Amino acid sequence: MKLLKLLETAQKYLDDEKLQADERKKCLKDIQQKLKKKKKQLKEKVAAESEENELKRLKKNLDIVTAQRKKVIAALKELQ
Amino acid sequence: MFRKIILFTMLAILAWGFWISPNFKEIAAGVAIFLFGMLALEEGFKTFTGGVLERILRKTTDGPWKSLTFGVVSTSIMQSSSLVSVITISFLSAGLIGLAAGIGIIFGANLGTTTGAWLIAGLGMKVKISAYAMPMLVFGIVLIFQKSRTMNGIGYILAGLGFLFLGIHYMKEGFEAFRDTIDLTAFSVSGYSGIMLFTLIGIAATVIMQSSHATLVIIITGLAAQQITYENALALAIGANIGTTITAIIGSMSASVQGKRLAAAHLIFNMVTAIIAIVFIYQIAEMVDGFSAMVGIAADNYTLKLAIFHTIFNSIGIIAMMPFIDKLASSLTKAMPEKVQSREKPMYLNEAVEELPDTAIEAVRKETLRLYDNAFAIIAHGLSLHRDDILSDKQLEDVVRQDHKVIPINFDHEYEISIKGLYSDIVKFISGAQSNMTPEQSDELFRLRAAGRDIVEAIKDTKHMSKNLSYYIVSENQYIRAEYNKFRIQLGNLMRELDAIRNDVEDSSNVLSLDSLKLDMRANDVTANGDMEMLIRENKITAVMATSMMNDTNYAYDVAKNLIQMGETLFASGNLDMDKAVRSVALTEDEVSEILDDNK
Repeated sequence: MKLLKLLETAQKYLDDEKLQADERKKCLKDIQQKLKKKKKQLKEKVAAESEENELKRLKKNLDIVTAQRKKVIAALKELQ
Repeated sequence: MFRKIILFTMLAILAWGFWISPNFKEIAAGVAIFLFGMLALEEGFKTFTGGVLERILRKTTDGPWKSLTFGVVSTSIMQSSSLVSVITISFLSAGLIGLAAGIGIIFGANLGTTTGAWLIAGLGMKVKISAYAMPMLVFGIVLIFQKSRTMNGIGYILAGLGFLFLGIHYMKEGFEAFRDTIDLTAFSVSGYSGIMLFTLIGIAATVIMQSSHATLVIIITGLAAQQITYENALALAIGANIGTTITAIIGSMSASVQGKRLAAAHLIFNMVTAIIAIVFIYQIAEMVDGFSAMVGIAADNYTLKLAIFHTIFNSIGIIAMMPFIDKLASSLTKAMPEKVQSREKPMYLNEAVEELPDTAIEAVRKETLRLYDNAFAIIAHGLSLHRDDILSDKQLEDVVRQDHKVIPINFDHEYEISIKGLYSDIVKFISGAQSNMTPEQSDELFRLRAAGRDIVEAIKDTKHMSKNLSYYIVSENQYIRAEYNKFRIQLGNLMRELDAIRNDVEDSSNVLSLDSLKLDMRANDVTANGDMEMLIRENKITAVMATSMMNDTNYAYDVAKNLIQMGETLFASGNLDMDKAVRSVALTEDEVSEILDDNK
């Protein structure tokens, strides 16, 4: 069992493609976290804003972050 | 010509030596194989410089003692102070570390290189290392032919070690065979005259071979075969220490002034250390005897005693010089001042950084950022805005309202002095820097080159737009004036936002914020076209004004597009994996259009 694990670890370090996929997944998850936080902040700001132009701007940014998050989720699904 | 004469003379002397002495041939072959091993070892470690070494270097060089430790550890592992010096020079040239940190690393590398003497004296002379060399060579060469970069690097390291061991073996054999025919100790010179003479020989041997390690191996193998006296061997080791600075000096010739300062610091350190060692050679030798007795090294084990001597005198040098590291850095900065750069000359691009892929990419990024900084001023003035106003908190609407003055600018002259030369140098450097790069690294360089092209395009579009802009922002017609002021405000705000994204270094996905600017750019374009049609319909602007505005709406759109495109590459984190992931998440033109349609 231990040998199997050791071989897996060695394989992980020596397989460039797997290493790259793992790294990509890590980066996407990091981006996903940041976008989640950003979306939450924007939602709070939208709820608190009353000025029309600023509200429009915030909503537009919220749409962008939502679209970006969708892309991250799709990319992560593809990697699984 | 002179170099060629020297080369052929040396080759002739060597050939003559091989003719008259097969043992000399064996020693020389050993040195050649050893040096070849060093090259392979350096090549192997270079494979791993694409990230790991750079990351460690950045994290571990924020204090003199940390830099020193990094120098000791990295040189002990890589067994090449030359490689560490060259990498340090590249980092300094690329502006990634400071001079004091660089000096610390070089001091550490001097101590780290003494581990080589320990390995050779401790293992090389006792164990039959040629037995290990053969399997290492076989495994190494097999791995070199593998596609994986990691395997390739390991292959070079193994083959390098194999060649090193084989080289040591041949030198050892050669000296031992020599012992049966000639007694080289007959040429030994005792006293201070001998110390000076052999120090000079040590310098010359190291300068020729460009490796203090190779000189040390010759000294140790010669000493083990009793062909060199212990006293002369000590002087040779001191000479090797001075001679090794030649590699750093040669490496610094093509480097920036920072690299030259580091090479000077290296020379000063090794000279000071050598002077201390020569003056106190007998006292240090006594210290070595005392230490050897303490740890149980036999009194006649001169090879190990030489290794101890090498470590002790380098340690003394470090103890003597470490308190003055900051003073040394500032004195060298004063003595070798930075040449006042005309703006078009590159600051970060030179041959020293070309060797290390990640450093080269970082240097190109920094240089392209300089190109952008130069372009920023030109574009700002082309919009008749001051750079300081764009970068301030002021509302640009207020700035435009209060200041109607046109800022005169000669685009061709500005382009010639602050863009053209620098841009050409970046393009030229990129063309030459790709030889050691992975496809991903080459792609990043191409993206940076494209970012440079975007900057140049943005300037050209601003130039086209500025002719009408400088005319219409002072026009009597308030409608056309207002439209052109809108261009100024929108582009000024875009540049301000770009600056904020650039400075948001904490967030590695900061360039995703550019998607919001893409949306603004599209929205502004739609609005500008709508406004223009209305103004024409209502006869508020003339046909000539309308034509100008139509063209300039396109130019303004292109300036914005080029600047955003540039920002996507130039303001990215520099972590290739992260940037690739960010690019895959950034919205495409169609996706931006979709959001724009939904928001209508």
